[in-house]
Amino acid sequence: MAKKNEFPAGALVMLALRVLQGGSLHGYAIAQRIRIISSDVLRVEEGSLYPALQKMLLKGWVSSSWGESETGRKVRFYKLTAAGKKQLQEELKRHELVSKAIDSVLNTA
Amino acid sequence: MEIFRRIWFLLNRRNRERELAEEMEAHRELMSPEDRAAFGNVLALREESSDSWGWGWLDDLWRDLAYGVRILRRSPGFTLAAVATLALGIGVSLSAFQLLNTLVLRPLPLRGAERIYQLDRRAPGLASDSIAYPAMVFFRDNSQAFEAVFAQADSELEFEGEAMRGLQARFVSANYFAQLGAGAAAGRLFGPREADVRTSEPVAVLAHAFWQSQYGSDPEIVGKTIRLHQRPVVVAGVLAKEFSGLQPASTDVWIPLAHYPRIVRSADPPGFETNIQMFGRVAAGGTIDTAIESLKPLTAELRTRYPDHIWERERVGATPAGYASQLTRRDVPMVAFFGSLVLLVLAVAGSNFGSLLLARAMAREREFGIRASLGAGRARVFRQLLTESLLLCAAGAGLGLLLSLAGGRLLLWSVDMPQSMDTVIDWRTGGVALGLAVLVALIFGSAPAMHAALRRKSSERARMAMVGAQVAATCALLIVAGLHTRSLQRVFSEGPGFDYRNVVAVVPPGGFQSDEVAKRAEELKRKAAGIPGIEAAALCGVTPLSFSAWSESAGEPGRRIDAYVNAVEPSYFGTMRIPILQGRMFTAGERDVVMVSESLARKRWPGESAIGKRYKADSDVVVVGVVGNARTQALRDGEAVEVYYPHRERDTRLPAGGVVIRTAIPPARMIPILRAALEDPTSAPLRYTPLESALEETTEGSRKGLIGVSIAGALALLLAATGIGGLLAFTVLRRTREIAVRVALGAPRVSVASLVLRQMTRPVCLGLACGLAFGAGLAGLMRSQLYGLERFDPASYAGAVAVLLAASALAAAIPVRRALTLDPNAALKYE
Repeated sequence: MAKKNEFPAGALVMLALRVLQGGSLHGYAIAQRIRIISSDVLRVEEGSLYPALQKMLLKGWVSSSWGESETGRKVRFYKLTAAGKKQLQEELKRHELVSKAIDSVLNTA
Repeated sequence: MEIFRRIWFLLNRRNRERELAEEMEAHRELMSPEDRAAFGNVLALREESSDSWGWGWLDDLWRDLAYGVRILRRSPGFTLAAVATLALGIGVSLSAFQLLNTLVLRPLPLRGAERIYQLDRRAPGLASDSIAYPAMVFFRDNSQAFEAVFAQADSELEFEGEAMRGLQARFVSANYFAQLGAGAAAGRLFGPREADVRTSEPVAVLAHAFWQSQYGSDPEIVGKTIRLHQRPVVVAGVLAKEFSGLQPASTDVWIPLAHYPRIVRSADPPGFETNIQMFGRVAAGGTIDTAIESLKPLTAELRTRYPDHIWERERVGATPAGYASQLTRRDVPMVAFFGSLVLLVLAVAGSNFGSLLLARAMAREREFGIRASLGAGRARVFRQLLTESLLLCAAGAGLGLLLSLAGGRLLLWSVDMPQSMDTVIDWRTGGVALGLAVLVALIFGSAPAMHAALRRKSSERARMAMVGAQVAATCALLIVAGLHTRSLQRVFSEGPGFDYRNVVAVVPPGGFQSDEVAKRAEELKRKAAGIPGIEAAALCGVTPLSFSAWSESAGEPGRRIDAYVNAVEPSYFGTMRIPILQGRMFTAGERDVVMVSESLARKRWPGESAIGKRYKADSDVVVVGVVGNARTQALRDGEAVEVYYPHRERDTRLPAGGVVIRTAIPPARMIPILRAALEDPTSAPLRYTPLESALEETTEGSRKGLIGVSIAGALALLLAATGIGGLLAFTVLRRTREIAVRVALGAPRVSVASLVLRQMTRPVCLGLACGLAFGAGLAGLMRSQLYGLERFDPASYAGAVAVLLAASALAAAIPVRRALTLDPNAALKYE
């Protein structure tokens, strides 16, 4: 429970969107990507990815289709939509703004 | 759009859930076995995922409803009591709404009802809702403004030679039935053929209700001849039950307007003395404003042709006529009054429902405790209980809606609406039923639900508040019922100020102000004087209780006093047995004098004698006498004041009038004698009205109203009594141990009884206080119905309090008895 709280849901959506920018992926692959790129720092309760993905589907940021994984398992692939790309840009902009602000506070204070 | 996706997700919900489960399973399979724990709780995550579709509340609602139905079915006694209480309360409100719906909101069942307008006469300072016959013909023949023009005139006709029994006849234009879409239940309806009196015999179409009551629905009546006003008329057919006609009334027979002159023996074709009602239906897509505008030049032309009959600057006005009636500002107090009555009954039923819920919540404490320990939040319990209330209210409203079909019909009957005006379940009544259900559930269901959700130990205060509300509302209703009863009693015991027994008003038919009628009235008076059995007779402008009232301002400048005005012969006071209190009577033919009622004298010249005073500041008219108050024109107006002018041959301000005749024998036996002596075969039959039956008719509406108010009061009393009884029974139950200990220690019976009774003192006293205040407010709204009774009539208020106290005592008897007969041994052992 505590682990999950360390990882805000909004950030998860942003990360998933960012990871999907490279092309369509299935759920496990999304979780793996986040984990590997962040060098194991951002390790979440992986299942919590699914509520986030449902929300993204509902908002129309991603579309989904079923296909076969590298291992031949039937899995669902997620693909970024035009609306999703726009959303990602907005979230990145906001993130940049916030982290810059945090940085400047940390550097001066 | 997100909302469409959301609905799409809901519709494909099963598929989506399966897919979600499958993909999560695939994810777990792909993870290394030692990492799988990091995936989290699959079930919880699945639920969280589907929650993000935003339909969680729907699931909860569905679960709550299913659970609610199960719980309610498990306690049928409670459910039945709650639903019955609500059905009564909501049913009463809905019955009143049915009345409003049928009379005001729903268009009449006539073709193009929304486009039909009544056309009337207006001029600066003058208005009349009827139009002279020749004017109607002129407009009809010369205007293309309307798709169809209808005319109708109501008249009371003598039927089969029976003197005492008048038939309500309605003369209508030949296009009436075909254009308004009427159907026949038997025979045929008259049509264009009957537009010309030369080519058609007098025919009549019977109203459905009259056909039933008079002829037992016998189809053989078609083609037979009946006698109306001593003229033979052939029955052409029977009108379908559903047809109401314009301005629905209790019409018995329908006759072509073209035959009006022959039957009532007026000029043929009728002249300006014959007034009828005129209606126009604008074509679909047309507006009434343009139609009215196009009549302007026609009215101007009519005025140049008939300057005596058309007012200066007269124009045609229009009011919607596609509804049974219209609410005006004058109706506001009446609507407020009846609205308050039904809301009071609803409040009593609702608070009774509330106390039932509170008692039940106590009994279910264990269940809530278990649910709370299983993790149900307060909000969840609150919502569950509110859903249960909503279920009960919905059931009560449904049943109430069915009840209102009958209740509304009763109300329609009480306002003399014909059979064709019936109650229905439509979107309006259904919507109001639903609205009331939600309202009652929220108002009276949320407090008990809150109590249970917060797991408060004692809900006694809330129950007391509910009982207090019941007592208050019931008290107000009883006061209204009491005032109604007392005012009716008063009419009959104190009398209206004149002796109505053995007096017959004889009025020649015809225009209100025609010289001919005035002459005929004089002739009648002369003839009547010679008939044996007649004690006295007098001419008067306005005959008593004739449904027409004439008033003028009798005040000084700046102070308005509306006085009912009449012009009478000196013998009028003796005939009506109105006493002369001061001064003298005016003599026949005297000018510039008036007599005033004692009430007017007191109002106008308080503390002084009225004799010799100038009646109006700007004229030489002097008061010569003061007579007793006599409410001959406005029986209901307790503050009525009267002024009498000497009767002259022709008083242009007043109706042509008639004769009042005091008879030595009962009017029913006297009327045939009068008829034989007074009638003249060449002129229209006279109208005879025994004042006693006119008085009964005038008060009939109030009597019907009294029935309604009494039913409402009785229902409220019953509900309030069960509310009080329930409160005390509950107290006894909860305090069994305490009472047992007291009894065991030898407490006197009085102290045990008072322990129980103390519970009801506060709610009953507070309720009575609020109820008295509220009742006084309602009495203000019903002032015009009080027949001169004081608004703060002490007997009505005291009576209401006494009845309520008696009912409370009765309701308290059972629980008190139970407390007194408690066996302390058994009670303490049980614990």
